[in-house]
Amino acid sequence: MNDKPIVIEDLVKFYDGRCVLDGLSLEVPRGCIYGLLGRNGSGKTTMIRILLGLEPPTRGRTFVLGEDSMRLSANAHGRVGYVAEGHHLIQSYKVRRLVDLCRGLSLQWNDEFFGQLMEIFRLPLDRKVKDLSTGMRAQLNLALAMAIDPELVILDDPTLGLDTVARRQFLELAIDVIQRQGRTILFSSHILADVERIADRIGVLVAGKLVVDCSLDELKSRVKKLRVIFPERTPQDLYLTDIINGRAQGREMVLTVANWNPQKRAILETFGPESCTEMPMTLEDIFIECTRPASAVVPQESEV
Amino acid sequence: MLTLIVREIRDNHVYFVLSCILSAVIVAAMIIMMVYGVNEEAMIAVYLCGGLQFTVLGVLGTAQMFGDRANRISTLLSTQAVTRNHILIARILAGVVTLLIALVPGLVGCVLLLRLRFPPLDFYSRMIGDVSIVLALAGLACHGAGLLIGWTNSRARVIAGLPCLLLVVASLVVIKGFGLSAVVVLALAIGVFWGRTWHTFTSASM
Repeated sequence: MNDKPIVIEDLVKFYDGRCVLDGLSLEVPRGCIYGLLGRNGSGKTTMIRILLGLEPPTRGRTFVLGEDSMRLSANAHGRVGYVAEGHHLIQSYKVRRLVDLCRGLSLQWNDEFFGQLMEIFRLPLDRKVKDLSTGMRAQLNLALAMAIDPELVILDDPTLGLDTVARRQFLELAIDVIQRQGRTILFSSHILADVERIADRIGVLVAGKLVVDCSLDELKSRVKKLRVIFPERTPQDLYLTDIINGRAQGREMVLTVANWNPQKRAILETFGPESCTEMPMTLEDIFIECTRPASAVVPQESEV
Repeated sequence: MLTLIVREIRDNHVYFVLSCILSAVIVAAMIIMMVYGVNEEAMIAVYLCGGLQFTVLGVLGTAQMFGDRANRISTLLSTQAVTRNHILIARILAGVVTLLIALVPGLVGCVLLLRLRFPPLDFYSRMIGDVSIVLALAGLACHGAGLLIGWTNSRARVIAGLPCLLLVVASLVVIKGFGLSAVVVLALAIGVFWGRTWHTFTSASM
């Protein structure tokens, strides 16, 4: 058993001279449900593909279940369940044949669980994969990934293309899977509500850099949005560390600050604001603030 | 591994069936020669079908890799409990199975024909041995060339490249004959084809 099923060390990836991942380092502890967020093209899928050895890195190293991604053994592959963005299934196969192939290639196959999933999803075994809807393909991919009783589950935007009901069904199933002990999940998604619902640690990728890497509760407690009203105009020389975003209009200033604490409040008080109120923030608000082009990295607590 | 080999054979069953048909024609021609004596028409059929067998091997190799790339089969297989080495070895073994289908019936027919229609000379058994080894290596080289040329997204590269490589293999056999030098040259060609295919396949993005 490895304590850190996913380790990424200074990962750099260039595509056609464009930097997609820029010195990314990350460790995901065992049993963690890690929600990876990022806008389109931020490098989420590339990171996942490098992790699984589907893509070579330009620099840096990644380890999955203690093995180097570029030299993953069959045994390590067999302990990782992967649901790919776009669902890489063999389109020309019938569902039954694809299932037989995956069963034949697996280290272990939980027939009972797979049968349950097929019943829940009502997937037709005698239809070709290419004739299935996007949602059905996602469900089939998930069922195949879960049937091997994986130690590590990597879900790359698995709910993409699913309708609301199918998405809910998927999440309920994911939660059920998560509840099985010792399983680590890396979950990448655009749908923040999904991540908020199941993740206990969050990473935000912006332009190939990991700007947030902490627990969901910690993130929510550390990042604050403040509405500060000054008696006259907003001061030009207002300076606080860890301002992620800020905008001023007339007497009002809205600041998004990381690592908000009494010291920072005291510093702000020295500028003589008339009022300073905290505005509630959802994960979506935090994500939007962090991924704005001008936003700064959310530093670790120790850096403040 | 067996699952992977079976998958290769099922996905490319057309080539296996084609190889069986060509072998059947060769065996039929041999039987005709055993019964009615060696004749030109039957020999032409044997040469023609023999040549086609090697083309089938080359096309099989190409289809295995080109079909994989087009349908992103290895992207799925690479996330199962196998490595890329396993996938490639399964492809080569599927090629070996086709090679056996292509060669064994014809060679058995040839041995029987020599026993029935020709004087029992030691020379013939040595000749059959040499020819078998060179043809087997040439078959592997054709399949290896197909594997190498098939790992691309460009149909034009396949259409232009495969005949060229097959011609190279054929000319090696024609120039070197069925002796030791042909064995060495073909073994080197197989090494180059497999080595280059292994390198591109294991280091490519899936």
